[in-house]
Amino acid sequence: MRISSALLASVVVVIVISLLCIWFYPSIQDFMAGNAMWNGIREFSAEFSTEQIDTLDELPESPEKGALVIIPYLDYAEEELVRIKQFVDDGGTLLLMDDYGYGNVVLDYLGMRARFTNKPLLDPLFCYKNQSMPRISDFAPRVKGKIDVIMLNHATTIANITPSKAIAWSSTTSFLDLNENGTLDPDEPEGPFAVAAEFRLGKGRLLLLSDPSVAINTMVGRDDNYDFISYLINREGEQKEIQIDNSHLTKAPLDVSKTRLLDTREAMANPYALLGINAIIFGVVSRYLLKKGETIE
Amino acid sequence: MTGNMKKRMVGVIICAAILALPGNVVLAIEPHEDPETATSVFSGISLFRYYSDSLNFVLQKNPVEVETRLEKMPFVNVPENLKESTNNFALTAVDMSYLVATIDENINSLRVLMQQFRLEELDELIPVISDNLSRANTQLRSVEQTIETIGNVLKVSSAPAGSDLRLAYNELLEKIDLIRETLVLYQELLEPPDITSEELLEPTAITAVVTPDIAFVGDNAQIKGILSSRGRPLAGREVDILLNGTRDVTVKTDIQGLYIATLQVPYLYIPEMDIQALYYPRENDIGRYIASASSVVKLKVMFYEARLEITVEDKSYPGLETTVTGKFDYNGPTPTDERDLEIYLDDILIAEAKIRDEFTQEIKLDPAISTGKHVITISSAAVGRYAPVIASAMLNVIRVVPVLDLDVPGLALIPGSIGLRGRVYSELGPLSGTSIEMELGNSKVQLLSSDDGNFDTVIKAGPSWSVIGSQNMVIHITPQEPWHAPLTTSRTILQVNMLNLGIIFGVFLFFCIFLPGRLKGWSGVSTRKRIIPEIATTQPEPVPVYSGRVTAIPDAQENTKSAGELLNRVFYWYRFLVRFIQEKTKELIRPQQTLREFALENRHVLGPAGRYFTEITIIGERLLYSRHIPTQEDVEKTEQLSHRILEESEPEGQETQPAPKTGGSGEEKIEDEDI
Repeated sequence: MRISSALLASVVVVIVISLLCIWFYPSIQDFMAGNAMWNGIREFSAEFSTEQIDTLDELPESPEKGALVIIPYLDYAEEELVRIKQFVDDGGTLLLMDDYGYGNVVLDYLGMRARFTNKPLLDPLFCYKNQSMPRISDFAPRVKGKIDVIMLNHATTIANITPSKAIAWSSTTSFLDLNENGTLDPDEPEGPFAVAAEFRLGKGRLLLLSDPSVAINTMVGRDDNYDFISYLINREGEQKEIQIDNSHLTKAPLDVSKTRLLDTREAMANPYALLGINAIIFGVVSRYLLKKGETIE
Repeated sequence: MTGNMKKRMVGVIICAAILALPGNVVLAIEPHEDPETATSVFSGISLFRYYSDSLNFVLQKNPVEVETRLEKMPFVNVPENLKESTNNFALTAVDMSYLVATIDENINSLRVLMQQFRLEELDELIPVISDNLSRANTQLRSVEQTIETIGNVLKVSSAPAGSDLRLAYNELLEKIDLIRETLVLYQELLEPPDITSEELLEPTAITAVVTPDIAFVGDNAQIKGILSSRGRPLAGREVDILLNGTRDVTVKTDIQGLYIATLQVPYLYIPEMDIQALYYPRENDIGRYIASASSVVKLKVMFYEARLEITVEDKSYPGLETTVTGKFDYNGPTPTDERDLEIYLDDILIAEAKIRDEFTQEIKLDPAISTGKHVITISSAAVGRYAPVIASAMLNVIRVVPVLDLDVPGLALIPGSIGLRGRVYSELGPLSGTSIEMELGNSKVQLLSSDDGNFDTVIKAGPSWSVIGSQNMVIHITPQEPWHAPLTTSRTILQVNMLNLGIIFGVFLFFCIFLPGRLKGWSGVSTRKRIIPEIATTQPEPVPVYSGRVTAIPDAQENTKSAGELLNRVFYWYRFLVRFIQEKTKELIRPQQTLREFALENRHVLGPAGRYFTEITIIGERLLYSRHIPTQEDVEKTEQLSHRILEESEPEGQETQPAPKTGGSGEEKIEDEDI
């Protein structure tokens, strides 16, 4: 075997092994449905039977029975915002869960006054283990009796909303850590702050939650987090078909590779692509064999 | 490494790099941490401040707020060794807050009683307040001890004097002191009035008799009695008639101390009422008499009660009328007049009516009403002796899911149009003017149903990637009536894509017929039909004889024929030599072995003459695989070389193998496939 052939074979083997690793190795990135570690949302996806979508073009045309969960950690293009607005206007339920991302871009486009403050909500007393994991026990009357307490994780707050739109508030001991030094300073606002809100928008509903981390594997089962998310999404008693927008999550190279591998597989699944691949293989093999057969050393 | 190899490697590396390209990462703040491994940090300062704020509400006599705040204590982050203390604090502080609020109310009552010289009632109230004060003080001490325990655990005493922890702790203790001062103040208010001694005041007595002691609501009852002091009637004094503890009417006593009051039994529809007469000193009587109250007289109240049974339909629909029926069931005489009826849907008044014993009311539901359970409440106000009636029933509001009958062809040829027709209806009848939208791949068609719910349309199925397979056609039905629910359903259509089938068939033909030829061309292999040398059956070309005649130029066909004959002659000799060699080596030409390879492997049997065989092989290959046209010279050279081989390879004393006669009739026949 010639050296070049050996090299080629090695590279091919390495690539095949890499592809298999990419395919089978689980993601460890935040909010990835395939991530079974503490920071993934595998349990949430399984419990709510969610569908992951990699582009907002996959939103249903008739979204009355659909709920879209957005964790906006990447910026939005104009056409994506148009698609989201259309989804809500047509009757869909949009659950916008943000803490330090681009949620305000979405809210601005939807014409809402409400904003995520994008500053850490700390509660040194009503919390789990430390002040960055505040526990929320103040709810609107319509929620009381159904939910007792939920737990957040490095959350922020929602500003510019009327009390009637708020669903949950932080405690009076909470504060907004504007300078992010971890302590309450004299000029920093003290709680309660709204952390969840609900709006009617078009024919649909807009739900705001100031912490997407309630959905991660180590959070969704704590306190009443699961029931709260369920309450938000299925508020009108109808089980929604939930889609999670993966396209605005930060991804590790492994996740990007997984996505592209999936895309490639899909692209290769159509008959013309298969036909082309077969033609190429046929051509290459034929040429190789014919050439070899006629060679005289 | 060759250029092709480099290109392949680069291609592979680019593919791998594309797969591994990372996304953008933007977050500056950690979005979360693992709760399992998170560091526990407890804030005693926050706990003390929260307690301090809660005790503020004790001072504000707002026990509800205190309870609301402290019932959340299970959700605070405190070390395990403090949990019992925090629970104790919550329990005792809430109890204490309610006690303080009760004491405060009682103190207010105390003030009123003292102002009215109602000393007997004061005598009853003061022990109650004292008891509450004692309990409040006990609980305050418990709260204080709990705080001190927490302070010890948190080592407040060792904290710097100006530290936040020390300040918060001290602030909390100050709040406890304030509550204690409040309780002390209350205690001081309990001291008996120092206006005058009871012995200097004249006692009074008042009686009360109610006639009749049973009355219907709305009827009058007479209350009369005598106000006296040490047996002497008190004339011209005002007496308050209290109904259930509240002053209802005030009358004056006559010269004999007699008072008579007429009281209309209020329309309260309760079984009995407390009536009491109260005298307390006013104006000149202040400082002379002590207040007095009669014993409580019970007045039994009569009224007619009714039971209302209401019935609603099993299912109701938004925008449509629903029927509510009802019937009053009286346990006595029925009212002669109609009763007012109010119908509420989820606490919103939606209809009013005047009815008798039975009624049937049509209610039109709001088209925008949400589906699900709603509460229908019907109330009828009291009428005279008839008590009010209220009853509720659950109304189940639903939207009917339409039924779609759709004729879908079992097989559809695409690209083309597919005829679709059907009917939309529900249990409430056909859906007229309903928007029907059908999507088949990228094709979409929208139409409205007719009055009887029928529709007939075609949907175009354009080109697609599929060849043969089923495709879902999604149908969205959006009724215009609010009582119909939208419907999204799908039907499967088996599609045969004629265009793609044609293309694939064409490509298949291309693969089978055209491509092999092209590939051979690319790889340098001649695709011309190989000229298989025929076994020479014709006479060798005679030696040209000089002739004076003009020789005609042979045409192309003759040239081709001549070339074939020459080729045959060359290969006749080649085959002869191959057999000659094979007789010696006993080996055949292997499959896929080239002529040159055969010559190289076997020429040694010919000895030095082997080189001539190689030359003949090269001539043969040249004739087979190049455009070279065989010439007479090739034939002659082949014959010469063959003869030399035979001569040189002949061992001494052995007869030379007879050379074949080319073109002779008796020549040996050699199989063509040997070549």
